[in-house]
Amino acid sequence: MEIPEVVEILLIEDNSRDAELTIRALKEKNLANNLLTLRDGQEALDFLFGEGQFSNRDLTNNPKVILLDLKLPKVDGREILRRIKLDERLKTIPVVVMTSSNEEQDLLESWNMGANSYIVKPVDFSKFVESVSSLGMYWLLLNKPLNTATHEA
Amino acid sequence: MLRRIPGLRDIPIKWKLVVVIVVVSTITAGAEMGMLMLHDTASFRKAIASRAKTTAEIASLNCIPALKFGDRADAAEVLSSLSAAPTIRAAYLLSDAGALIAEYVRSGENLSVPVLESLDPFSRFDAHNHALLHPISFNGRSVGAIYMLTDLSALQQHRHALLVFGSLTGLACFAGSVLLAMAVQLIFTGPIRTLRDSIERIMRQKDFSVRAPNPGKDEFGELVERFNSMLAEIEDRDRQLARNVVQLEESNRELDKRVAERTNELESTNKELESFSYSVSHDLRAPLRSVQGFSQILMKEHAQNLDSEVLRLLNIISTDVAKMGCLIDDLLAFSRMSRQKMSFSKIDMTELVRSVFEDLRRNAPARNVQLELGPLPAANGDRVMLRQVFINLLSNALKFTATRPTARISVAGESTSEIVKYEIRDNGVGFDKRYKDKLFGVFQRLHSEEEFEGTGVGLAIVQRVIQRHGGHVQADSEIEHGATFQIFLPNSIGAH
Repeated sequence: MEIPEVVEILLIEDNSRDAELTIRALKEKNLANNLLTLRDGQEALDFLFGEGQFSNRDLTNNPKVILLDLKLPKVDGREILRRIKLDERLKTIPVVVMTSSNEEQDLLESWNMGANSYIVKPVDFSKFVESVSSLGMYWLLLNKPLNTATHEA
Repeated sequence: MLRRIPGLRDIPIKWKLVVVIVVVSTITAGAEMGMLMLHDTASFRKAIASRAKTTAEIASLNCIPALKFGDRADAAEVLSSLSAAPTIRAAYLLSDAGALIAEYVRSGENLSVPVLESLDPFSRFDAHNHALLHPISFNGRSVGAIYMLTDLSALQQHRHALLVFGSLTGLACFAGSVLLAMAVQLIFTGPIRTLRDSIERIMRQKDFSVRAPNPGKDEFGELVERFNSMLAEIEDRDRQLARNVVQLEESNRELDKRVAERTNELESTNKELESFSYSVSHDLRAPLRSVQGFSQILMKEHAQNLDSEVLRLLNIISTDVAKMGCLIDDLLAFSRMSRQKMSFSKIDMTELVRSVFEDLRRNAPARNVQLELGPLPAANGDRVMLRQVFINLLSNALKFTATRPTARISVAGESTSEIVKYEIRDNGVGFDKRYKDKLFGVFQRLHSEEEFEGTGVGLAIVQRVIQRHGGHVQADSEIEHGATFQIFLPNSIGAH
């Protein structure tokens, strides 16, 4: 797997079609340059906590935003969200939950566990592009992350 | 007859028995006593009469010579010998012609000479005396008669003594009969009391295994025997009842267990259903998104390499996949309306309908639509769900009046103490009323997609929500003459 030097966007998505559509949507706004896609929950945890194949990762250099699908093989998206929000170093990274489900239960659970955004992936592609790119814009360019702010101070 | 005497039946049997025995024995003793006294008096009189006759006969024999010779002194002497019999008050010797020859009067007596009409013999009693006229004859020829008076004081003394004796005996008999009666009543009422005590014990302890002791083989013994067999019957039924109760409890427990099992099954089925609809929502949409997305990308990025027919076909694919997305969304909404927990509150329906209508109106601001909204009774229900009902009904009304120059939609309501009713009427194209029952089925459509778009889920949601509120919904229409939908909800707020 090709791992970029700097990972700005971490996309955790098992469906390759959805992953490609997401990347394309981000590319339209030129946001997909430093993007890493991981295919299952275990891989995502390994990356985030610098274990397994990612044991050499620089843990001080974290992604600026995590796009997280809830339904993942091996480790569920909810579990990843919970682990991120419980970890002192990771909890400030904004997590955007992306799912096909608009079940209220999922939504509520995600907000409760500290998700920063929640989007229901629409079937309609143009709407999908709109949602993904605007979220990417917001979290990458407009939002002032906490860790950067403290580093600068 | 005795039963008619008031109060008699309330007297204890004990006293009834005593009274009966005493009365009967007293009457018997009294009658016996009376008979005895009558008989005794009669025989005493007979004895007096017979002794008087004998005395008169003896005196007569001794007087015959005096009569024959007319010797009055001799006659008087003979008569005076009667003083030996102290009960004789007086004796008179009469000649054949009835003339007084001699007389004897007991000393101390003051009697006048009796006047006799004839010398026909007689022997008779009056209140105090016995009077006897005894003829005297010699050689078959009447020579005179003797008249003798005997006093009855002896008889009276005898009677008096008899009365005293009788009274004493009667009193003793009475006392004896009372004692006897007390003893007899014990024989009769003893078993009754025993039976009564047994019954009391049975009633107090509710113990039907107790048996009354059997006093013997008389009628009362039979009664006790019947009573005991009745007890046995009751005991048997009691036992049967207890067994039934145990069985009932057992089957109740069994039933409870089965209900719990079924509930568990239902719950797990429900969970399965939930995860199923979740999977449908998640997994069914992903490939659709992919088909739609890549068709769009193809059309956008490779348009210059494709001819117009290919683009048209790609467009069809894209449109229909989007439609399928809508179908899935509607189906999920329907399933959510069926499963979602309801939170009841009092809802201002006039306000709710107005706000729904205004929201929908914004989608087609150019259309000419008239809404007639009467004051609606409040409803007790889930606000989100009832809002969805009116969104679906009013958007249908708007949809099916699209061909009318002026769409007229009216929403009216009324309430009774039992129900709250809402009626939504439009002047749209209506539907064939033969299909009015099919109208509320999922994916049931009465119009072609070309005429009016839609997935056929909206009215199914309406029906499901109203049913979950404990109400029902019905529709009526004439083709081209509009449609009417009526919602009935139970009135849990009260009449307005």
